[in-house]
Amino acid sequence: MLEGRAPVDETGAAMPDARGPARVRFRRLGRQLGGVVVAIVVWELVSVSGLVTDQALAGVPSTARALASHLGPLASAAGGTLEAWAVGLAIAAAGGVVVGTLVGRSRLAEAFTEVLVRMMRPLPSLALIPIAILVAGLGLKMTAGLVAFTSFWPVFINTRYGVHQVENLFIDTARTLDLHGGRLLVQVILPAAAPLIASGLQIALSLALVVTVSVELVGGTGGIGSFVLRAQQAGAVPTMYAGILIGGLIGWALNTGFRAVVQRWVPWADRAERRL
Amino acid sequence: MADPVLTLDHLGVTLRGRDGSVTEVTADVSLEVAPREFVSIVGPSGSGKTTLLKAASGLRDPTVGAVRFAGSPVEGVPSGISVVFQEYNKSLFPWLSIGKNVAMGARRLAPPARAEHVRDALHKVGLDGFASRYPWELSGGMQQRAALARALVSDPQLLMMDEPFASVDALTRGHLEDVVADLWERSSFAALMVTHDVGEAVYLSDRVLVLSARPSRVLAEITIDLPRPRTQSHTRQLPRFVELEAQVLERVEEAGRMAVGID
Repeated sequence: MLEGRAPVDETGAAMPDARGPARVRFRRLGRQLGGVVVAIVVWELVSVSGLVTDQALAGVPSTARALASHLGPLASAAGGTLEAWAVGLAIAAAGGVVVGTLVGRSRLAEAFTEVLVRMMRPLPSLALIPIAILVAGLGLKMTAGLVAFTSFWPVFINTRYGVHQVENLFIDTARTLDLHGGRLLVQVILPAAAPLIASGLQIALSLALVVTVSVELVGGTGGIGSFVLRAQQAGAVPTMYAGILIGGLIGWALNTGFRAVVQRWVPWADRAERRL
Repeated sequence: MADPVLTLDHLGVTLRGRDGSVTEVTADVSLEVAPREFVSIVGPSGSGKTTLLKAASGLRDPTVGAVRFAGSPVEGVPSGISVVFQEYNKSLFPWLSIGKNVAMGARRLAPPARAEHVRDALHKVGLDGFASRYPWELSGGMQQRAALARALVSDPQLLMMDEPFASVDALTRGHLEDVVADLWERSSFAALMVTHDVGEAVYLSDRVLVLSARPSRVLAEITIDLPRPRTQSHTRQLPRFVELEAQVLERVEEAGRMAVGID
């Protein structure tokens, strides 16, 4: 009944861009940057105040200097991290979507896998490192394998739920339009589940980065994690912080990029429900 | 009467809940819809109108009885039947533009003819120029017109509508009724509409069937002999309209009282 509220019926063009007009977007960006600036100021204040010894916390200027002088090694460490992350996440995404779709469309498969899922999902991936080393040895394969294992679950669970809870009316409509089998799956069920699959991927993406860096830290297999570990062992505190900072930036960039992709490719995610 | 497009022969639907409960929703419904005829089914809420329509369209198998469309038993939704649902926002696909949604109804046609049919269907419902818009960019009334375009683009023999105007405001509702009436008069499809709005049923139909409360049967059949074309402002003022509306309403109230009696 929302329709009675606004005279949009015959013009129809009145729906604004979901991101809002440019001015609003600009103001939001300003606030976000403001938050970052405040965080940097607090960081520097804590560092200068001596609350934390400079053996544990580097100041902003020294961290910036370390960042500038280690650009090369940092870039290659970031590359290593991103490689393991991408390989692991790709496997998790493909596996999660395919298996989630199959299980979500079959009540038998759902019941069959229920206990297994509940057991496997909370396993901390770091506890699996010994197994992973035995299976794959130290290196990219092991890291990517652990990343794939951990980030498989959110993709799988969201996909399963997404394809399971597709509106019955979408299905009925599809049947009146003579869409069955594979067409029904590809043209109706998967697009209907896409918003949930996308949020599963969003969770998986951050989780994959956390696991990648953690495994690198523990296993010393290269990447940002090992960079941070080596800096710490060498007592190069500012360099360590530079590494951590790069890790955070990578996470931010991946999340922001992914959100843009979702807005572009799954624009119905947060809008389809608007006119309920 | 010419050979009916649709025949329901002693149709009954019993629903089984997951908890094992059994509800007889439709007891025994027989009806025929002739070519080009506009038939409405009204009944108190809970009389299983939607269930009946689903069985009649082939979306669900009846428990007993038979459905025949154009002389053949119905298995699945026949290609000559199009269905418009109440909840357009869960029936139009939000991942497709309006044009592509409508094209879904014309998948049997070759691409060049399809594009032309889609344009034509959008024009008929007054949505020229909205083909590249998305459903969620349109108002409820426009979305339902798009759903109507998708239903009619395949040139069906029978259009089924389940409470098609129940989710829009009163003004839009009157407008949509006239869109449907106009399309129906200018085309050759028969229409079977389920509604709880007695005035709407009388305004649009050649015949109105009143369902009893569940388990439902046909309680009354009232022929609507109002002249066509009909208009909201004129037809609804006619003494005959008021009289027919009262007649139907009386039977619906009767059905409602029976329901209370049963409970």
